[in-house]
Amino acid sequence: MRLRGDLGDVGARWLERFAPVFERLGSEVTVMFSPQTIILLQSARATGGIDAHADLRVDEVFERLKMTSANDDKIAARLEPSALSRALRGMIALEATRVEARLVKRAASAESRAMPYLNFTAIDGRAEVSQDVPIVGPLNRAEVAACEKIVEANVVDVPYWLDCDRFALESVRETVERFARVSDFVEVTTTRSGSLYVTASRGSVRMLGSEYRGLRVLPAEADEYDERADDAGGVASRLAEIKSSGIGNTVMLSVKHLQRGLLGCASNPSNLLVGISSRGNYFELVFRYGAQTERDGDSVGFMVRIPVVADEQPE
Amino acid sequence: MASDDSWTYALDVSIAHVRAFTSALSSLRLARRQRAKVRADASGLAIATSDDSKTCHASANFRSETFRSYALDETAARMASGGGARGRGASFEIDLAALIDVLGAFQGKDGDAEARVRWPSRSGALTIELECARGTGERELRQGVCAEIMPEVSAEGSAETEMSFRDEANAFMMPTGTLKEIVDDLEWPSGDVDIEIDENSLKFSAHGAEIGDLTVDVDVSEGRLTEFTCREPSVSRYKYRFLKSATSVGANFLGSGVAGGGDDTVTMTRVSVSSVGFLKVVHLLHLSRNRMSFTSGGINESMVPVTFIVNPVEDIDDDADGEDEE
Repeated sequence: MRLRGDLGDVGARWLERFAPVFERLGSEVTVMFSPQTIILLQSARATGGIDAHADLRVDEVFERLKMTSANDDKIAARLEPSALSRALRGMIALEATRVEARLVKRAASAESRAMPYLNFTAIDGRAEVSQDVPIVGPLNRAEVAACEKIVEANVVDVPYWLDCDRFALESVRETVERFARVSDFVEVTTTRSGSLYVTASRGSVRMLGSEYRGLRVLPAEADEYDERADDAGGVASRLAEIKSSGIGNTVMLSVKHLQRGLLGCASNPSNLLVGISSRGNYFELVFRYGAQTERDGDSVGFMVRIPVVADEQPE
Repeated sequence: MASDDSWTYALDVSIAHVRAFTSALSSLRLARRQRAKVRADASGLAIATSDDSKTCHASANFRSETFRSYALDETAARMASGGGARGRGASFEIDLAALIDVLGAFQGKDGDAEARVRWPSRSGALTIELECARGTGERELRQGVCAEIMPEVSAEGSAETEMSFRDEANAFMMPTGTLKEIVDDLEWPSGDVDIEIDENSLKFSAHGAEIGDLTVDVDVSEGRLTEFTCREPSVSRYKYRFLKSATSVGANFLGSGVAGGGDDTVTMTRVSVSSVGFLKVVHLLHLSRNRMSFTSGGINESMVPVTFIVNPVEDIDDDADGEDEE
């Protein structure tokens, strides 16, 4: 089992975008390396209810990566996102020409056992600065398979997505923050004509709703936007029309889960895709980084899967 | 769902500065759970609150000119208010905390936004709406926010405790921020506050049994205060928490406080004491920082007076240990 690679400055910054998000979501993150991708993953157990993972193509992060393992050259380990963040920030601050990442085993003293670390070393001319991030692992084949299962379950089952640009995604995030003061649960409605609704209610506040119309729908074949659609009547009546005619999809979510999922906004995405799974049991978020990646639009992504609350809303 | 063409709202107003409006409403909160009475007539909207003991009352008066648009339909208002012959206009009660939280959802990122408020909807609710568009590319992104709040049912037989203040004896005027600071400082002794006024002095003091005394002496010599009148020397005592509520105004109203900058940049408060010791505090808040819009009458269009009336604590007794009755 070996892992050794050269992180470019850009690569370190990519990882550093996500480490603070994982830090806020939970105290432990699993890092999975394969020759093609790097995945940072937190399962629902670690985050308190939602699955979240960042998916990066190896060549966005590493200029050179050599790795071998008995498990199809996959290597996974668990570590604390705060420790990873500290190490990465340290490396970025040094502005070194080269940062090497390696899996190592070290013993603190002659008597103690050798423990595994993910080591980052900044090499700059004559100076070398080295930081160890303690890890639990490498994980065995079964654990790796379990992680892969979580990753693969994301994103596959959504018939259509609504595409929110920077302004819209920031507005959605703020809306959810404000609605959180009113209610513990929110309803989210999406339509194939590019409308998104977030609504909450509690006590004498019978309805508090936010509407976004004119969002792009993906894939293009699913787009049913009609610019000639009659849209008089106000937010509340349009939403009532959508629900009563059954043309949209509606799910209820815990507002805390949604707030936590939207922490991904802090990673400075270019846009956010939102969609409801076909069976109506998950609400999925995909944060994309578009023009910010070197290779192509999807070489970096951050995905969140939020479970839908059962129909009974507690009063 | 039919459009709203066939439905007439009793009250249909557009608020130009939601943030300032919400901040003014927040100052009316005297308790964590607060019911507010909303009264609308042709001249404007008054929102009033009082605390459970009915010894502290607050109200904000939004004249129709302080809104971007204001419309009251008398017929619909009479029907909505239960057809009682009690007078013109519309009135209903609302959960103030819920209203403040909901208005928070209408504030734009850079601070301000407009909202349309109407009452009652077909279901009897107060509705608030905001719509805006941002065109980028061929498809315009349109955003909207809406809210519906059900009014509170008036408790049966609850007496109308109107705010009343008569026979003003003494009065003074000072910047709102200054008054707030004085009252904030008086929190330390943890006791009721005495306000002592005579021809040459204005003193605020508080005495805390195990803590100590604090007195704030305000310089009332010529020209220091915008107004200072003393018809009969008075000493009156008030519960600290009511005085604090009566002087806590949102920071966004306190103005830049430019030294010597003149009264139009600083929010002012007028305080008066009646002959039997009732305290009236009136803050002259401005919903808009834009001072350019002075009407010919000289009154700033966006001015909203927020008034507090506080009952005095009975039996001022030097031996009293200043304990708050609950």
